[in-house]
Amino acid sequence: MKIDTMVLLSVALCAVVLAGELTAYGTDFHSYSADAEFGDGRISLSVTSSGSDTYSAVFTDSGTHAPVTKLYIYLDERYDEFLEEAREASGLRGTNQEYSANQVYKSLRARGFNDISICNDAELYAMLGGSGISEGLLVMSYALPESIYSGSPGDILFKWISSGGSLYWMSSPIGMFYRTGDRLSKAENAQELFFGAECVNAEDTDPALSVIDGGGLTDALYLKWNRTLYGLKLSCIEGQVSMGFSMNGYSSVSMVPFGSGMICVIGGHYDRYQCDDVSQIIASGISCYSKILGVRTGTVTRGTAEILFDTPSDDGNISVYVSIGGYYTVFGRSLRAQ
Amino acid sequence: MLSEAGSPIYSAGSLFRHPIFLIAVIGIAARLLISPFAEVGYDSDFWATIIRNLESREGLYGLEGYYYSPVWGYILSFMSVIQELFLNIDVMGLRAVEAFPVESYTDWFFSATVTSVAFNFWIKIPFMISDLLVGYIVYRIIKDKTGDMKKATVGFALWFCCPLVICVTSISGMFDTFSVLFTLLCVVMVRKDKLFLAGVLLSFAVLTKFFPAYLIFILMAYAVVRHRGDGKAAVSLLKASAGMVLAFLVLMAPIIAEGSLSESLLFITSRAGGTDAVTFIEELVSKGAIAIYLIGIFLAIVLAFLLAGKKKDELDDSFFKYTLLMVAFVFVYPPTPQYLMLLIPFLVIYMLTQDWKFRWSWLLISLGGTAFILSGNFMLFLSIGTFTDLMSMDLIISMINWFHTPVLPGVSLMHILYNATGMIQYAGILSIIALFLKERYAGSRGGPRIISFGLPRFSSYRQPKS
Repeated sequence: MKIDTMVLLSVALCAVVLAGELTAYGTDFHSYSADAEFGDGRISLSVTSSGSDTYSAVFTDSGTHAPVTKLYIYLDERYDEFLEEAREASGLRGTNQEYSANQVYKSLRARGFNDISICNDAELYAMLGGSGISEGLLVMSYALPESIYSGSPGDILFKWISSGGSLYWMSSPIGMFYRTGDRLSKAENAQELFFGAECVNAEDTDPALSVIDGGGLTDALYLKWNRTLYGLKLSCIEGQVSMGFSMNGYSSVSMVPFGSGMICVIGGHYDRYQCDDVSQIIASGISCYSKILGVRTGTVTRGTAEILFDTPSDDGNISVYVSIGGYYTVFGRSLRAQ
Repeated sequence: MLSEAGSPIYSAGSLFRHPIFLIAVIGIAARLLISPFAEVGYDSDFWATIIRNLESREGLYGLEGYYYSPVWGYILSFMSVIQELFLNIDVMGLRAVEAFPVESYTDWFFSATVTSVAFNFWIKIPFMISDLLVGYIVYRIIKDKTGDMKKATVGFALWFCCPLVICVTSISGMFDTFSVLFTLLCVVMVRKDKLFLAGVLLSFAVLTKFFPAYLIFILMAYAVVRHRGDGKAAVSLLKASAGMVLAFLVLMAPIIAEGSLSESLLFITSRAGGTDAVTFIEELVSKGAIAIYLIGIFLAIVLAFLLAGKKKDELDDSFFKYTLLMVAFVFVYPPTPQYLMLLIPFLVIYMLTQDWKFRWSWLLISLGGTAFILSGNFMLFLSIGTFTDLMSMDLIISMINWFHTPVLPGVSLMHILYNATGMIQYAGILSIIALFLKERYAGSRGGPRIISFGLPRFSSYRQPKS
């Protein structure tokens, strides 16, 4: 029987596409892992990839501040209701909040950070009643309900941060608005409350052009989003750590201490790059209290790379954050001594 | 050389001696030379992102980055496995800090994310293979219709060495060639009366990029005319529909299961739904686009009815005529160069089998589209600047800035280039419709002679006596 070349070609091409479908949704073809042994003044780290990938390992000492291991993402149920008003007052672009929250959730999951809860007003209020230690709160909305934040130093939000919580704020000017019943109110003294000074970039939308080394964190975490709108001044308050990119004295990522806790501001409107950055930052567990002990980078090709890293001590605050895939991070893992 | 184009290919040796081999080598060499070094970072960043998302086990739509129906994503998934097993592309791309200033030019989709030379090369290899296969199918169709190896060889050359096709494949790195490949295979199967497979292939084509969907009615009409009188028309249509539905379900099953159907149809719905128009012009473009889509559907039905009324002996020629008219009309909006890939093979087949005067349309589209892509100027060289020492990043950025220097108030050279080249390309699309209208209302003058573009090698080439 004569085989029709065109039929054969058609079938072969369809088979290639279907094989791709199978590898996309059927089999777990790609595998990555990272393991570490802590002890004897050193960390023995192994990084494994089924392909050829760059990796980075950031060794840190978190000091007295417990790294974030539980994240709450606030989903503002009335986001769309006041968006236009907030947009007119502040020029923010707005986003599909549910989609964005879901993207961050999935990005964190890919980096091994799985303890994530999406919370509404009531759940947020209940959560803020806790100590905040090892807990993070990610706000992607432009406003918080009055019960949480009303532009007063006695707000439950500030109490929570002070006692050890970590607040991550992105995509809008931090603390500018709060919701009172059916009204959007502006907190006139927001920057003073959060930072004790005017620190926020409210106008400059240009892309940042310079890299902030940040102790090697910008490169090691493969930070990408070079926008400083809503970001903080580079030297706003004592103890601040900035990373990412800078423009006209503002940074794309800043972490500042607040009581025993921390506030981290990520600049720019929501973008998939911003999503990657905030996921890297949260998954790494790095805070403004962290001391960077060292960074190791390399390439692993269809095998395991072994890294030995000498540590100054064996205390339980030392950890390593491994990410594989470079700017296209496919895997992340924060590893600590048990 | 052209005289040898008429000689038959019966063995590997005769293939190597045949001009088509040299044409293929030239086309492949051009692609291999351009592919690694030229890129449109905005798009190739997405290809790397999709591979990242797949490798993160988030499927095609779990993490942001894929906005098309799934076939191209599946091809990328297959490629990512090959990449993983055999290649050492450890860096797919990076954010080039030196290129950050280009993101200030917000009129364009400029990105300082630069994919690596190795990744650029790898991602474009399947495009090249697809181009070659499309060329082969064009060759086979023309040979089948005319029995003329010379014409078939010229048809192969007009596709495979078309500068627009080379640029879309090797510079833009766009995947439209796969949609063209599946569409042409579908046409081949319809002509061979293998309608189940034709239906399968049409689903693959449409789920690669939407535009071949406009051909569905014409293809159905072809099957109906072919089986007129033998009582098999309904069964044939059923077979084709079964193939189409089955392929659609198989390709979409995981996407429907994970609830990403709306994301997978974004390419279609974002166009059919219009845009968030702010200005009057945007509103006009948005509403105008929807009107064009609706007229396109109407035209597809009308052309199918016209085809259904043809006699069997005029079926094939009429099919290619109506298909060309349909595809040309589809790209009245949007006329983006990579979309025009679907137009080129039908234009080439029509030129070489029916009416050579359409060469002017080919010329306008090819040159206009190519120049449009090249209007990206030094943005296309960011990979070279970032990953090699062949060109300094300072030079590249200064040249990008130079192209953005206003030559008129608020108008840069880049604006002028994009608009001028876009108009040439658009004139090419409109010229196809105009030539058909002229033929319809003024009557066609002159036979389907092949005369020169002014190039000596074409001057002796004449339509053979039939």
